Amino acid sequence: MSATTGQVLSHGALRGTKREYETVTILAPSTNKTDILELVGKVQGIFKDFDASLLQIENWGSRTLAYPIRRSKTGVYLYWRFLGGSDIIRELDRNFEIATAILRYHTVKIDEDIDPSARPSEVTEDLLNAAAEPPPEPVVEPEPEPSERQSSRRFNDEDE
Amino acid sequence: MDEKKYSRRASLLAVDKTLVIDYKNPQLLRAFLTDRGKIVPARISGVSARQQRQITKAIKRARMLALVPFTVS
Repeated sequence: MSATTGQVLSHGALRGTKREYETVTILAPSTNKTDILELVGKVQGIFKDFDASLLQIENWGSRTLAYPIRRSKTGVYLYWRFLGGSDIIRELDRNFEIATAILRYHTVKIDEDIDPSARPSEVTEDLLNAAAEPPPEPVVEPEPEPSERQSSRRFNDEDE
Repeated sequence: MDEKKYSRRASLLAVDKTLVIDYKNPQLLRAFLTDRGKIVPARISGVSARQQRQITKAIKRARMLALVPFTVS
């Protein structure tokens, strides 16, 4: 249970079920491997406190942002999938807000009322290390060039 | 009166049934954005009402994550 033992902070905890969430975090382009490992360690600690489990972690590598965030034009995308109660989201939000390396984060609930034993964690030590490094072929989003897209003329907006 | 300004086209999602609308797939979502970054009406893209709801939600999420732009000036 969480640090606040005796107090049920998540509704699912009453039924012994969990929710499946996914979070995408955008890290500052200057983030290196040790920073990511440190962040992952910290989040793993939160997961432990809240009896949540990390199912998957993926590094999408450095991508060009569609618009600058905090003056950064690129960002390192980190994708997490985990099981947990609703109380963990608040704690994660709080921590992500404090972490200076995180430019932006977004959490989406993908499923609820899940028996935790039905979803084994795929996370291994190798996977965590792999997540700290960008994928072999970094997926760099091409700059949105109007000419690149076909049939764009049909969708032209009228206003300037 | 020119009522039909745009021609309705076969939906991308109807052509390829395996496509899943997901906010993590900006390449697909860009097909439903105009050059200026606006969401294309279902009337023009030819998707169903349900698909349009999924698309708008996905685009709004993707915008938050800077995967697709809010506006293109």
